[in-house]
Amino acid sequence: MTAAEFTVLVQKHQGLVYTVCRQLTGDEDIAQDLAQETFLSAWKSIDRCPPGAQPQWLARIAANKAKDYLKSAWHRRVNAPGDEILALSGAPPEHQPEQRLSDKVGEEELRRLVLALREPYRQVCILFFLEEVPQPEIAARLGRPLRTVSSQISRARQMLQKQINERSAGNNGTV
Amino acid sequence: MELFDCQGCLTDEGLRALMAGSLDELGRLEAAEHLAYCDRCLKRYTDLLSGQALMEPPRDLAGPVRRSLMLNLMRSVWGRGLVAAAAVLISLGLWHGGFFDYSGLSSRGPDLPAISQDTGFGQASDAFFDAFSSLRRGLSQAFTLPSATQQEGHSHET
Repeated sequence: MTAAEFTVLVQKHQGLVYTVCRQLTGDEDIAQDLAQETFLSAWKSIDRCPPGAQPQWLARIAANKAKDYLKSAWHRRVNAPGDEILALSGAPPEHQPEQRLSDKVGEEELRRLVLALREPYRQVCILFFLEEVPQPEIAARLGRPLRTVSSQISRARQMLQKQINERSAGNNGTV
Repeated sequence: MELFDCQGCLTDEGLRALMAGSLDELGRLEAAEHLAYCDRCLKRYTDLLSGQALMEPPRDLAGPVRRSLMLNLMRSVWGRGLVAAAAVLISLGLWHGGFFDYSGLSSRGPDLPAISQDTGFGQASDAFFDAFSSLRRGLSQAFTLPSATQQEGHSHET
């Protein structure tokens, strides 16, 4: 693809790409920057674009850019010290964070909490926390990228931890 | 409002909420994560977007994208000690354009994309850009160049 053809592509689809970035990030300036990055990335891999599928292909790149930005912002905002280490398969059980969760509330209560999770966390957490399936296998079974599975488990663990802490605070407050 | 169905895909109301701007930060992150790999939901989303007016970026993207690409390309070329090659191309372009047209010179320059007096700067820069792009592609055979990210365009079928 020549530079002139790519310029036409940018002019034709910048509305779509910007809209995707804007709706996902919620910020006008961030969306502008991510839209530009989307086209820069698209240029590098333009040969891989399926024929006739440019809008969807560009939207996929834009969604990835927005996802990376939002993940980074979320991680900076909510990550507490000590939560950054995910349970890796093969790690000693006493070092696996999910083991600490079940120590706090017991297996049965942890099971109840996991089953009450909403998607996209429920299936991932049933497989990881309750059935002890390794993350790569979870990714393969659910058709999700491994990094997405890891991120979802990390956020789910924070949600479960928060629920457990609120329960504990509630119990401590009762007579 | 349920953002995801029991299969882990975005619901119709979830997509509508995304388009209306009513999702919170976590919801938007979850939606972005899902759209980054789910072909079915991405198609549903883009189909919905094609049926309505899109937002225009505050500033046109074509110009800044072109400039960034030129800059990146020049950096990668110079980074491999090819300043002389760039100078040769510029010289050939100027020679073909008649910049070095001295009386008595009978030989004609090599055939290059025409850069005549009639064409604007945009077309001239396109010609140089395409020439540099071709040179870079040819060099990728001999040198290891930074590869494009693996995520762009990657998809999973659910």
